[in-house]
Amino acid sequence: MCGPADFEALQTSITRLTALCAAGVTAYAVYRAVSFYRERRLKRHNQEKRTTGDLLPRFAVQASSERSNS
Amino acid sequence: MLDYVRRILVERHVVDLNMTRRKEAALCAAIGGGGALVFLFAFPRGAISTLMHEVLHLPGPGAGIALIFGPFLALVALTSFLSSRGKGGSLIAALTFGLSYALVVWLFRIPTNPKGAFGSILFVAAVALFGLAVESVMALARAFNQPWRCLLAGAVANVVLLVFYWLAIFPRTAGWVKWKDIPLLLGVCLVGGLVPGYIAWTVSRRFPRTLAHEQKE
Repeated sequence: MCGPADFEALQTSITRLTALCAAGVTAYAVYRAVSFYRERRLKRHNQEKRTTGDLLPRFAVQASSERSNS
Repeated sequence: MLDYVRRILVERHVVDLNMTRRKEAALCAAIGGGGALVFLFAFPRGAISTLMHEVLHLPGPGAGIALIFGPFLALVALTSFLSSRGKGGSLIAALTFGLSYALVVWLFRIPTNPKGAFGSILFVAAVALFGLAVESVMALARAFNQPWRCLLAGAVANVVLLVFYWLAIFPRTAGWVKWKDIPLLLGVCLVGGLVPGYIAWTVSRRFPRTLAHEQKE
């Protein structure tokens, strides 16, 4: 009823499953690394934007006060 | 006639043919097709049977369905359900799984275990029934929160698949299951269905729902 035992097929199956698991783990690691890198770049970009945004009005105020003094 | 049916289905929102829905359907079909290829690659003929009966010494028929095939299918169906917001994701994935499995086996003349009738019409029917069971449980068990629904859907769909195999496929290919083996196999089947439910839920939490975000926008 169960059919003949095929240990070679079982061994092949285990090898392939291991390979698939390794590929999955590698793909997940790459995905995490890419998302981490992207997040960091976005954070840096936002920080730069904020710094420029903070400085611009200060420069504008400084320039106008210098103009009024002169 | 076909146009009339299509119009009725779309008007009554039974079938929503907008772009996101199509994308979701394509994603579910891709998960199903990919799952079939992975299953074919990972389990060559005789591997499941040998593992179940020679290594684990489980009684048959049905141990391979309860512990390997059903859980794998549950993982495919639940992952596609959770990666799409609309209804019918798991049914699409299950149907694509069955059809692509049958197509690849027929095209490349891949030998499969005749006991499981893999690639036959009954096999496709069993897989479709599995998708329908997942879909029904996920729709009916709204009282539970999502992880419990996933666990329940995996377990119920696995039992439905095993019972279908016992009643419709194994009597033609391997013989009737013995009464004394049923409790053990059903227990194995329930546990085998719970595990992929949990895995699918964990996986869906880890990966963002790209299509769901698009739908929100």
